[in-house]
Amino acid sequence: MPRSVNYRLLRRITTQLEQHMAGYGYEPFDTPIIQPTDLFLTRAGDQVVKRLFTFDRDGQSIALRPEFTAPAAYAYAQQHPDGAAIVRWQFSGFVFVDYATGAQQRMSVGAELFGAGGADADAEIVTIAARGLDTLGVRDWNIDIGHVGLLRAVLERFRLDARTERFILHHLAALSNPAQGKGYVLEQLDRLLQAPPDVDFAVPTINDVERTLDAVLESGHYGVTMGGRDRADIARRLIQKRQRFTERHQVSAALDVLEHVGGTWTNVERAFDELGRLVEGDHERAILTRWHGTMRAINESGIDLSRITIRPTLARDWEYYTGIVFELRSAHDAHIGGGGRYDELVKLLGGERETPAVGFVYHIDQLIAGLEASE
Amino acid sequence: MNEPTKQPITLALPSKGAIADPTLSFLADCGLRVDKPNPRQYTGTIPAIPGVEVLFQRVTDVVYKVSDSTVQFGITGLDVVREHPSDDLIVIHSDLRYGYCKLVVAVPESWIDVVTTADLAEVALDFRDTKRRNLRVATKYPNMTRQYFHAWGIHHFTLVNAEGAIEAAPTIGYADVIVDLAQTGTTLRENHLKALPDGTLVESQACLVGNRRALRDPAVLNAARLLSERIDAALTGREYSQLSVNMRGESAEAVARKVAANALTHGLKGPTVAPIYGTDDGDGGWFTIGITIPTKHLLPAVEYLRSVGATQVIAAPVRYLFLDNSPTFARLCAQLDNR
Repeated sequence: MPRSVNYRLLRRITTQLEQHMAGYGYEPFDTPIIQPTDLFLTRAGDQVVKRLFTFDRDGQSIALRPEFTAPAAYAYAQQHPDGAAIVRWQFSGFVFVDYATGAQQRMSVGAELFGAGGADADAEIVTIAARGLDTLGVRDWNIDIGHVGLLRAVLERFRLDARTERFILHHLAALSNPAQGKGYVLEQLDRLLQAPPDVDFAVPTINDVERTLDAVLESGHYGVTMGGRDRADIARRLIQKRQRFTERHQVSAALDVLEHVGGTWTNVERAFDELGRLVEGDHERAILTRWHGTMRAINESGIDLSRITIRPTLARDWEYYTGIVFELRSAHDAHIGGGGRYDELVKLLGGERETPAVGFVYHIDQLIAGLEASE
Repeated sequence: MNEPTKQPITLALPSKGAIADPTLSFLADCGLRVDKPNPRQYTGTIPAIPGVEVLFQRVTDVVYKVSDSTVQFGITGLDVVREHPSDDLIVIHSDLRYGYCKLVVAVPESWIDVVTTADLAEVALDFRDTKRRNLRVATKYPNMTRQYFHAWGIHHFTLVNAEGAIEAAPTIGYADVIVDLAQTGTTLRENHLKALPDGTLVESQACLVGNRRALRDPAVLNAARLLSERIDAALTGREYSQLSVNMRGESAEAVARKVAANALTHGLKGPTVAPIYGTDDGDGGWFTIGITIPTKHLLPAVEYLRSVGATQVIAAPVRYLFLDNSPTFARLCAQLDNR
């Protein structure tokens, strides 16, 4: 049997947080509990997919919602496909996580801000998340803040292909884990690369590869079965594969830089001084400047910077983040909430263009555990 | 506790498909010939085990009926069992050594960039990124396919359910890749597909399954023991040959010692030796020796026997070899205890 839940406390917390967010102009948003699985697989991390509660009905895979962000982004894309409207939504409801030991139902409360980019929108979300903790009487909370956008920009220096880049972002936690580190990540990469391409090219340009492919395919023994790909697709990927072999040392260099960038700074100003020395080029500098601006806006909204730790390589389970990411921690180091910016998701789920979006969620079960302990 | 049930014990067998006829010959080999009085009926009996009835069902229905305890036992394919897992279904014997096939991921041969499942994972991402659609997978095994793909980090795919001619799907164009059974790979090749070397979801063969809860009934458990005994004896017997060896020697002991000295010809417990009468030509006697040895050692064993004086060796297959207990039944009891 699952641990019994203190529903009275849960209800009280939920109501308090709802009122708190309503005070900032956040309208209630809701979404069906049961949805097509595909909705949640867009940019979900492997951890999320593994714990998705799914079942089959009439040959379609259905999932119990594991979170609110993707459904909210989908709803926004449906209602405002042009991405022009600024929308503030708050949500509260049960989400479902399927662990090996059994499925769990959890209360999820949080907010999403669509259509507004920039430091002020980031600061608004971080501030609401943090202020909500004050409302509940949670003392001694801290915020870890990182920036996926900055990491991506740094990785662009190395001109890795999209898949390798995703692979590295995926292994940030392993990279900063002392038990794993760079050696482990490279090992995983080698496993991914272990199969060499069958066809070798002296000069891998797409025309050469296509000509070789034509020769190979038209020699007849491969027939005409292409399964929804054309020759250019196959040629392009053969080139990518070959490039990836030659870019292993690039990946190694990229991991070195990430290890440098991946420090932990409790002094925000010092963090930006040091990061300022590590970034290169206008693009990275611009992102860092915007991030710095976000921190100032957070400070101006009354949040003491002593509560903030800068951790540029902070990793979260969902892969849809594109900008700042943050985690709320209690005095006992429990993860009581988190969120971040995800500017690509609305378009991926059917919007006409990229739409700025940022949001957060409270982990209510952790909050309850903390409040019960202190009562 | 449970009252012993008086209801008949039923074994469900495949009514059609690749393992239907092989199942009947397998059972006949085990001394469990199935009597089917009327070819149009779906029932039969096994005269060797009175009280056990036979019900003919399609392989998938065998799994369903065992899982929901409509029947207590069934013989079906391991692939079907893995596709429809149930807590109540227990695999009693997982390798009956017929109906071999593999459930594999196969892609068009023209995809020369795809050599491993990791490649396929990338192609699935390419589909998403450049074609804005999912990789389409045709299969009759949606559950295992979904698990397998997710385990490889392939999350963006659409299952295309189809009942026949799965291997034609990529050519016709309603799927990009398939997950299907392959025996020799000929059908795949004919359809310009290749199985991924690391893309085997399950190595399947015929298996004996039972209902876990029904097995709490002593009568059902006893039927499981009888089935296991026969199956083990027949499958073990296949591995052995019985040798009668004519050999000259000074005495029965001397002959026995020579034969038992080599592990190849030691036999199960040791040789039996009997004198042959009427062939005494003055130079010691003739003996005939009986041993049972693994068939895979037959030729080296014969060579050794010749080297120690054997003149004729008669080898006969062993039909049944009963050991002191049935390993299959012992495993079943252990599995039942673990719960």
